[in-house]
Amino acid sequence: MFKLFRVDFYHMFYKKWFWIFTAFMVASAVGFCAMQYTAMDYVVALDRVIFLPMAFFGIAAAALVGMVIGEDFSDGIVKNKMISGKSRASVYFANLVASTLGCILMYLFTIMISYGMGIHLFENNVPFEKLLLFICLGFVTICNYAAVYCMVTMIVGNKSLALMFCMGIAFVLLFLSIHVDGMLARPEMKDGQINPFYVSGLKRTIYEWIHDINPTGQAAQLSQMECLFPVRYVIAALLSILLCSLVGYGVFCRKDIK
Amino acid sequence: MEYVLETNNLSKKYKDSLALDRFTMHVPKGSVYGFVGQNGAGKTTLIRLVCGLIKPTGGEYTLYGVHSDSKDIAKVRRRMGAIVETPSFYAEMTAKENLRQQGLLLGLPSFDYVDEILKLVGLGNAGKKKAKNFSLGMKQRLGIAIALVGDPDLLILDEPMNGLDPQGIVEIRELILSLNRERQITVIISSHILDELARVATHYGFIDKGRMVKEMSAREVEAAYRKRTYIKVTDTKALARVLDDMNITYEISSDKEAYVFDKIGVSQLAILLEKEKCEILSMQEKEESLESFYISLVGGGDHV
Repeated sequence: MFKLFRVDFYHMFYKKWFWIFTAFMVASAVGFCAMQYTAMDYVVALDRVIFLPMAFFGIAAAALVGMVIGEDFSDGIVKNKMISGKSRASVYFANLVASTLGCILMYLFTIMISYGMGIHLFENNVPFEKLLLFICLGFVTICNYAAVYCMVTMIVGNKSLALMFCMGIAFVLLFLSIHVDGMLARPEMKDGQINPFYVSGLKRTIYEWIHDINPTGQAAQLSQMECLFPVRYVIAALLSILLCSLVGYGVFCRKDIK
Repeated sequence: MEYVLETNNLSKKYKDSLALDRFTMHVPKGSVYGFVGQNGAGKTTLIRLVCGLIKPTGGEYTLYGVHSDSKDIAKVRRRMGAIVETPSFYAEMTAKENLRQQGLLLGLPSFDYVDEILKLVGLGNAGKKKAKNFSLGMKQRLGIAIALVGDPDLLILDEPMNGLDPQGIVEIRELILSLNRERQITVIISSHILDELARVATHYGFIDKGRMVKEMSAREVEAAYRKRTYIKVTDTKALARVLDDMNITYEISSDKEAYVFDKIGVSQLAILLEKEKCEILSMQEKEESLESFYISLVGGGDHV
């Protein structure tokens, strides 16, 4: 599998897509910093800015994974790997690892730019431990994104369709995250009385899990640098990664490669 | 005889159609195996099955003696190279980079083979041109070059002549022959350009509607060709009487034309016809092509 991974990883950087989507994420990091710096009439805290570009990450990751793996299918590279005696398991997981590493590098570039600019422009209210925790949570989210989009692309197996499905899912996850975030943000008390629309009990727990399993829900928490249950966040992401990988690999194993 | 590939009652069913129906074939080691069949006969389905791209719904195959259900079947595939439908390569890379990538994929220790293979397939001067800008013939040759990385014993080419110009067809044919003769690579070629196939194949497998109609060596096919003689005479009734007396197989196609399928002594026939007051107007020996042989095997009807 290492040989396959090496080829996939090399291929990821050889193609223009990685650099295009990384440039998009870096530009969004610069843009957010500039907007926060110029638009606000008060000193903005650093924790409001560092992870703000993560709001777009789902779309960039969908495009990157869909394009790179999808092109492998369209160019016949996946077919070639299997003719060369590579097992379906190694083809699937090498693509997953390469996609994950590609997304992680895109994330690191984005965060470095965001932090590098932010520390000079905004009030530094982020202790090192908190920064480290959220960077690590970011890694978990990236792995979650890569697992979702890798599953979709390996199942669809066609560049145009994969891109369409990945982008579609990116927006579905975004809208789901906005909806769930809105539900969870409802205050318990309103005008001194209990808010009847406050989500509580089991329903709240279910919503919280949905928000944590959804990589865009995780990205929303990252962008605000607020995560109430980091352990659940990690467990939910691991569950999502495991589920996506099992489903993706299972379907890919039965798939006729064209 | 040693076989590199054998299939036994191999079947592949898609939703509504049976692409391969209890298909059995034997590819001898060192042969150029011409896999003949019309579009949709099941040629590509068989190749995709052998390459592991799809799974059979029934039956089995062995590749170098390794059973299709064995865990080692993926390993043994490293001994083969293939182009299935269209050549596969990284479109953004040059020919050299593509061959290096294939070498990395196969875990080859060095890239010494790159220039040799490119020269062999006639892409030695491709330079820094990206594969996406290659002509169709160059793409086909690059596909073969990639398939040759790893020094395979078996090369499977699915319709390698499709879309090529006459010069390209000749080049690919020469390449196939040199790979088979000089490197002892067994080659399976699927094609429906039968005249081209007839120039390279040492063995044939004729497939129709997912079933193997017949497997034959090139010599057997040549021997089975029905040589026929076209005769135009003034009176075919007289001709029929003479041929019946000579116990010769024939077919009357009009009141003046007939085909004779056995060897005939022209002088003897002319003398006998003269006795019947019948004159020979013209006579021509014709040889059946592989194409007409294939049609006679699978039956005309809906075939080209």
